[in-house]
Amino acid sequence: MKLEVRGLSKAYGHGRPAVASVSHVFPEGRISALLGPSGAGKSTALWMIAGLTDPDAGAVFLDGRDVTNVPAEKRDIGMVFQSYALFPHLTVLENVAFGLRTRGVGRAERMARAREVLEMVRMADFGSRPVDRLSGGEQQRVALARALAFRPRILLLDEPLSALDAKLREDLRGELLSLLRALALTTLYVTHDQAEALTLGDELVVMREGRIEQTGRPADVYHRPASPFVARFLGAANLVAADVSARGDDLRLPFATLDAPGGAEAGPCWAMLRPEDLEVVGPAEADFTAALASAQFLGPVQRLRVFAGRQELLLDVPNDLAIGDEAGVPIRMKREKIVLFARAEGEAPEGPSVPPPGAAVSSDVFPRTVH
Amino acid sequence: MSLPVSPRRVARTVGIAVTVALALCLVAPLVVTALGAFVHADWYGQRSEGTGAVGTLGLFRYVLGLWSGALVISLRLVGTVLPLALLIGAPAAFAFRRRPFPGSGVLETLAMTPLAIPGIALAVGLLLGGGRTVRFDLLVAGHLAYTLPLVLKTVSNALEREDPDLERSARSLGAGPWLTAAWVTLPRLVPGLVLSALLVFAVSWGEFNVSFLLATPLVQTFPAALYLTYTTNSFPVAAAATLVFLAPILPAFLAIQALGGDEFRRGLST
Repeated sequence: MKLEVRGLSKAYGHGRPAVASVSHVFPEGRISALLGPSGAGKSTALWMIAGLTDPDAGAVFLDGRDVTNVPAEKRDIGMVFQSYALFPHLTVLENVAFGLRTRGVGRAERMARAREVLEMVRMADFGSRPVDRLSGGEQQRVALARALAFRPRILLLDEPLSALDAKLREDLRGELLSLLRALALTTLYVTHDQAEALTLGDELVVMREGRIEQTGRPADVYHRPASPFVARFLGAANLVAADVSARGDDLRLPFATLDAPGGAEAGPCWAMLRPEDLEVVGPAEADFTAALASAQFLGPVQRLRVFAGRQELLLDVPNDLAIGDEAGVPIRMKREKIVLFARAEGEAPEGPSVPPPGAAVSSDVFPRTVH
Repeated sequence: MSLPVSPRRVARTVGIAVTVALALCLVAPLVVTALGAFVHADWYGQRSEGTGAVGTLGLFRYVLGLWSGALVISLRLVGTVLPLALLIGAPAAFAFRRRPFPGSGVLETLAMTPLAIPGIALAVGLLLGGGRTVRFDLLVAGHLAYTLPLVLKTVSNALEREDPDLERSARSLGAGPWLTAAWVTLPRLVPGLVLSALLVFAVSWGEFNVSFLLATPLVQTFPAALYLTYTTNSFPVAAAATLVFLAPILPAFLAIQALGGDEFRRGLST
């Protein structure tokens, strides 16, 4: 089922709009990860697609049909809520069968079908339990089973793993991925966790302040972010205030000058480099030498914080690399990985963004705004 | 240096003493009353109409015979007020919480105000405003004024405790507004509704001020009759009448305790 939104907008009260004219065609049978910090409008967009919130403007199309005025209960859209919202007065099986019951499926058949779906999420033995006797992970699976049991045309997941602890979240992520892949449903997955978005999404839709900032395959968005915001939000990024020379051939960084990438516009710019795109090399191959400030062991890699002059930089190096502190660290940049963004004249340079690896980034880097 | 008696211990002893004293204050009159209704009137050295009744249940037979009219009125009143209060109060609370409309806040505040109005004022108001309305209907109006706020408050609280995503998820699963109400909201509200029903019952059954002022010789509630008994009959008769009055209330509150299980708190499955 193809899902398209056009000019979708929603404002609550008098504040800035929660969603401002969002248009996008979600690829059929794929998982689109809606990623952005809290308050970016992801959930509001999802709710408008589900029919649970009325848009101020714009339209939602399912397979080309305008369903903007179709009530939620008639849209055949499955949804997993952040709180799971399982019905506490019903058993696990009755919860899963709920969407079949509203569709008039007879008791015997709906229970049988609910059992099948519970099997699929490996919760078959839990059918007769009351839902408040389940762990968080179990509740998450039941919520997913309930959203799938009536064979929805589209599946929406609103931060489905955010209520779980880190280890469980990672386990369930893999499980969820294989299940969703097997279903080949058009799926929208809202998250503020970049690691989740990168692993689960066939497509990434990065949102910021109610607008779509960038869409694309996760690897493309990661390697070619469209803005410093995306660069910082998706993983760690070094943003260096640089200049492209008047003839457009030199990229002047505060600590080194390189050949500018083709098509670079003359003038001030931000040069973005991921920590893994900087490497420690022999002195002969180095672009510059930096002073080591700290080395942090992250498991698979160690993250160095260095200063090239006054510019702070992060770089990820093999975890067994021994760094001496004698004459500074010789560093080379992977030129093909450098991404340039426009920079207003005099825009102040900032330090690199350091999200805790693999964890949610939002609250640390961006001010939390109210939905 | 340690104190001879630890402060914690003192606090505990005082706490227990206060609790016991309170319990005694509440229970002792009940015990005396209960005994009074069963012992022979002569032991009290008091005689009045009715105390000549024979047998253990003689006093009750006398009281029930004397006030059967008032009992019927009170039962009819509760039987009318209880469903009305729930049928008006619960949907109103739902509207105020889930579908607020312009002016609904003012309306809600207005509905709560009778709680702050003295019964006498309300009764006089009803008498003046009621004109030639049937007296029983005036009683219903007076009792509704006092019981509706209780239903509104109890059901509102129950609704506010609910995860609003429950109703949303019901909708996303294909349940329209009516099915959502019938299959999700209502079953989840059962504990709140039972609680409001018991409150309405207790308040309406025991309401005195409005009932007393609106009473006529023909339309009189049981609490009004109780008052007459207290002022005109001997203690054993009044004690028996009091037990008749308490008879339906005590089981109701025991029922609440018994219903307090998991199943009840989750809501009843449909």
